[in-house]
Amino acid sequence: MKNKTFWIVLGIVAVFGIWAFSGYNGMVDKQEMATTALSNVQTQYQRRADMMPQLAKIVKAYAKHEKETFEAVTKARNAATQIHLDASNLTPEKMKEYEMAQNQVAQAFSRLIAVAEAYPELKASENFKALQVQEEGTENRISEARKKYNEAVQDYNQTVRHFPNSLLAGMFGFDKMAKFEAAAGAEKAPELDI
Amino acid sequence: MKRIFNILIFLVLAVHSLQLSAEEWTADNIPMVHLQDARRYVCDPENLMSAALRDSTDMYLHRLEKECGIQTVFVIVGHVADGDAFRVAQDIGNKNGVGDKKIDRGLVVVVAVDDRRYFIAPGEGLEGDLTDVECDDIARACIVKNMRMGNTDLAMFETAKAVYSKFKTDKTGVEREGEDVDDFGGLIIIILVIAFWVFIMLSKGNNGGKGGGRRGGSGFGPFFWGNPGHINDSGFGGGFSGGSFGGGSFGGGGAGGGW
Repeated sequence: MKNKTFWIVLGIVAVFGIWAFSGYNGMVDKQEMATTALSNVQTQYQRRADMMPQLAKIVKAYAKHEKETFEAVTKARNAATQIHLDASNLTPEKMKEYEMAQNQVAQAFSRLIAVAEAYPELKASENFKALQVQEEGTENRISEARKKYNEAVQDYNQTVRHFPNSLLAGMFGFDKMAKFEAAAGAEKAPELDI
Repeated sequence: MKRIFNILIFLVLAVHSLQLSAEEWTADNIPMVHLQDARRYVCDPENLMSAALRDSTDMYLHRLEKECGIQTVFVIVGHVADGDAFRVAQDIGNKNGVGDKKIDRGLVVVVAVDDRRYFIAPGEGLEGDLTDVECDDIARACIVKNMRMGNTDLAMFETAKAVYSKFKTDKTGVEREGEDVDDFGGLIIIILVIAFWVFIMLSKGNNGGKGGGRRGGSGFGPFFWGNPGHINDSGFGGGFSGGSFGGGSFGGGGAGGGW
């Protein structure tokens, strides 16, 4: 009888151990996917920030007296590159701060593009056209990267919040991750009339 | 009473046919022809292209996969959901995994004729070789130019040819305005395919029918009806096998717009 009880307890412990093992690894995998997706978002934002000096240089060559616009562009870019998201310490507030800084960059970009409207030679320049196409591609990449990040986070959050995984998540510190909020019109790539 | 009944039937049918013609295509409901036939890449569920040019386009895309390792999906439909060709292209690429997973060299082209929108989406591993600017150049020279003239066939065919040319010779063959366009090779292929097509139609009558060649044993059928790559087989008219996608992913690169 005693022997039987031992085997039953051992069986229960083994089943629990296997569940904990696979549950823990599953959560690690999904967390890694989400953090990789976050890195991809930041890479795309960085790509846009890196394009700004190039675009500003081309616009400057045709529109030297648009000093205010260039200052705003430099300021927005500098501010955006100062803020980084840390996957291990991701709060909704930090996400919001990061997004606000990136929105400033987007607005600065729009202003640069708008300046070109007043300069037909600049608008017709091959370099400017190429940069506009790249900018549109970058906005699309940002939109896609954000979408993939949100999907990865949704998958991870569902896993850590579902019972009984939530028990393991609480034990091992798998916290819910924050998503990017869709700002009005921010996820839509700009329509460039070229 | 019978007259009213007939009118009602007519109205129901008319509304139904209107709904059919205005179907909004998404990545979920566009049939992937490549999965049924490994040598087909052009998804044309509404038959907007002529069969001859669709085959010629398939032929270039088959060569692109075999010779350059680039798997493609070309989609030509009337409407896409929300008129958003970008979203449909990305979803097709990611959901089906167009392109090999390891190298991510897939390519999806979506043209929504009635929406007047298009998008050329290279897979993540292809973005370095087919840049946004090159996608834009190809699209303007092949899609925009031809669609403005209402030439759906040539829009798709020339896009396939330009992409193939880009990876085979490192030049898209898409010349900027003012330069001569050497379209001789493509012209020869079109003429040959159309001449062959007419020859078969005249000599055999229309016994192939849509998809007829896929049944096998119908002479040159597969070459024209969707298996252009069979030209290299020992005997024409053999069976066909479905293809598969490699698990590639798409990150939003490429270029799109309207005409």
